[in-house]
Amino acid sequence: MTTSVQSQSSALLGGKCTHCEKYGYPYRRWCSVCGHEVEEAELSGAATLHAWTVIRIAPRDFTAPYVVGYARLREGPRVLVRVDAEPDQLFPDIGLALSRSTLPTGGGRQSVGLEARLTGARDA
Amino acid sequence: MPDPAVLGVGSTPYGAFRGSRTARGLGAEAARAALADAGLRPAQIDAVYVSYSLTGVLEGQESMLGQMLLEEAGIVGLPVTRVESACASGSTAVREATLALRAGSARTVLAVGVEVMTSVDTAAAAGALAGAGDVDLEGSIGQTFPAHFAMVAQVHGREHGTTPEQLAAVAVKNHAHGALNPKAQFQRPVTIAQVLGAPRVADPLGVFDCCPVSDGAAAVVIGDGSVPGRDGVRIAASELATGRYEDDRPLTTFDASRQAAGAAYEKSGLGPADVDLFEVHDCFTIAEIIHTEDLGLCGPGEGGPLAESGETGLGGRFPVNVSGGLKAKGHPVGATGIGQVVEITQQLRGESGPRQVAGARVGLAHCMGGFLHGDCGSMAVTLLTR
Repeated sequence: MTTSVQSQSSALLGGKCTHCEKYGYPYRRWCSVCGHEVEEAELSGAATLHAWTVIRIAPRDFTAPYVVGYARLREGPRVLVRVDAEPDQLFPDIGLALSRSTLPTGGGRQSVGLEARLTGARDA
Repeated sequence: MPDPAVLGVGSTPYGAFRGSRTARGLGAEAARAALADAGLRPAQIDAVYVSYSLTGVLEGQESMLGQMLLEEAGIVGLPVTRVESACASGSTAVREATLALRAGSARTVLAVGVEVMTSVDTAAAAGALAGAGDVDLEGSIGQTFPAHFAMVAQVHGREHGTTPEQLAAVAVKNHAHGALNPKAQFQRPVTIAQVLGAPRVADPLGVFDCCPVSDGAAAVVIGDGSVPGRDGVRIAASELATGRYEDDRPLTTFDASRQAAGAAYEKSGLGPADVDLFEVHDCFTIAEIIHTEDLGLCGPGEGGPLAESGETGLGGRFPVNVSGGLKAKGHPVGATGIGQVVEITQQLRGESGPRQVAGARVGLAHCMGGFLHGDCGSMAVTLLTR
């Protein structure tokens, strides 16, 4: 269920609120918690896995099966990710490294989204 | 000011009509049925709210579908407003109608909801439905609505011990209810073994854990309450909330449900124990379980045992989705929230035949629309009383 070996990774550009200092991903100009302006902030990509599933019926342009999950970034935000792993490798809070990657959809097209690779650690 | 009164209701059958029924035709049929039920002529309506979500994208008639179905129904010359909030579009139309009445800008309002989703292939319908989520963040990785609720089920199981059998109990119950509803898309019972043995969609959810893609329409005529209507059904509260998309909110509860339901309970002076039947947004089996928690039928994490107990079935303490729900009655997106009001109105009138909740006086409709960051877009709660 490997999603990609040739992904082009890039840094995670998120935001940090200038007032309440809450981090967010992706960058949004105003904070959804306190309403103040947000400045751009590069996120570490270090995360832990909160929940995951194997998608067995895929949307058009994607080929099942593949794994998606909710990951919690070290800076706080919970984000939806494609997980580059077999489901039997996964357990709650397993460490992940997140990047924005080019994901194969299986339909001959490519899509850029958040991808998680296992780091093996229980706490990222 | 008296609460708005439900003067008439109407609905087409829900089903997969595969192109044999048009949105205009379905919408017009439901609208006329509601008018006939109210004993009113088109000239007695002051304003119309029309809800549809995906039909326009799927069929190319994105604009003006409301005016067109009303022209087919012979209802013309009125202010017409389209209301869209994904799967909560219909409930939001009902709310807008009640607001217009409470504001005194109309005395009699028609709300009609319609969706046609099976005239195209399922992949196209699923693609349009994905537009109720975040196309950029979710669509880019191939996320689906079943996958979100699959992860909710995983966390609910890990934290509260909710089992696949408890999820399946919801599907079994709602199919049993659907078997009593001649307008339901699925009118056949299913067994726990069938639900658990069905092909998986997103682990641990299988085909029977998911509501179908549907066609259908529903309509309701609401008056300002100066005339009670022949049956005395009133809208005691119609509340709308949206998610706050907080990163640290648990996946296993919707604050917007609690907010909308809390406001509805407060305005009506009623609580969950006073409600005789609930129509809730069971797009997935786990969704019904967490809605029963958020609406106060049980405590947090107790929805699984409640589903398994039988207390949410017809004859139980908290009948949930006696219409069959989205799961078995069907989910024509723009019609769903209005269809819930149709079901509850008929129940409060005592017109529901074999699925009648004995002596029902209070009903609650709960409808959820759209997603962002794993939180809901819109959450609507409507409380009806007699």
